Amino acid sequence: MTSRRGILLWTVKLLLGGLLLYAGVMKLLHPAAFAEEIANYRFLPELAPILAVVLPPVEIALGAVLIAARSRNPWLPAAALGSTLLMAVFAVAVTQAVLRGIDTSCGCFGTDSGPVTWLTVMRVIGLGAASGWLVRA
Amino acid sequence: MILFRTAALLTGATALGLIANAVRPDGVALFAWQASTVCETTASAGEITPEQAQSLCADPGTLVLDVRPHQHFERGHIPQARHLPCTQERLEEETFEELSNASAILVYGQDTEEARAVADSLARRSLPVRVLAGGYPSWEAAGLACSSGPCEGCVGTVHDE
Repeated sequence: MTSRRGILLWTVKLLLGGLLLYAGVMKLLHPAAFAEEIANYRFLPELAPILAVVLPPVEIALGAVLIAARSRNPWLPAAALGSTLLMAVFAVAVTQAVLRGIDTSCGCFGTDSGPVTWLTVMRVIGLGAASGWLVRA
Repeated sequence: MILFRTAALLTGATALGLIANAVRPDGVALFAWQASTVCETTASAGEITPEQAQSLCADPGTLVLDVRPHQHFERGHIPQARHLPCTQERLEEETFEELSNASAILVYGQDTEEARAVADSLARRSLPVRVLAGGYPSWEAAGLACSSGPCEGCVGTVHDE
């Protein structure tokens, strides 16, 4: 795994995996606060408690597999696909918040994650694109 | 096969999350949870004068809510105001949608306090709410435009004097 493509693949999967793992752990620490962050998006707020419970372990599981799986492991594209789907959902949530002018914390890494802006939207789309690339890599 | 593995990952993590939530003492109450402390700092809606309210009303994105009993509403109300007494048992989905999309929400009652219950509950949902200081009498006293007539949609509300 010394090719340029191999190095890129390992870099992307480690960064993406690390980010998901960190985000999941930070959200897991304060589930009630995270539920309120989700409700603040005013996008299906009735789903806030279930999402607050489910999203952190999903992020941790996907992050752990992305970090641990070797490049030929069949679980790697599976985790990358899961991450792509997750980022697609996040992209819809943050985009609608920005378009509606909702001034709320992003909650991306638990509480005090900074406000939702177009930068957040671009970051989520970028992570989604990186995940999608990993599915095919 | 990739779809199967992805589904297995997501399902397994979801199940683990639900189990962990059930056993941890600070778990989220899945069915009884309410965003009661959303945005504590804005949980109390700010007050504005009738003149400030009038300029707010000029914005088409503003939603005006009258929380008084329907008899008062029929006698006179701010033009375009919606009747939403705090005793209304639940918000219709359509109303909640309107509230969510409003750029500003002006709430008034017969006095400031009457509007507070509704306004603060909306502010806790981090909606952009303002209370008309002094209620409808202050609007009238300022000589601003008023409407009167039957309260459409009041059927089914339980608020009486």
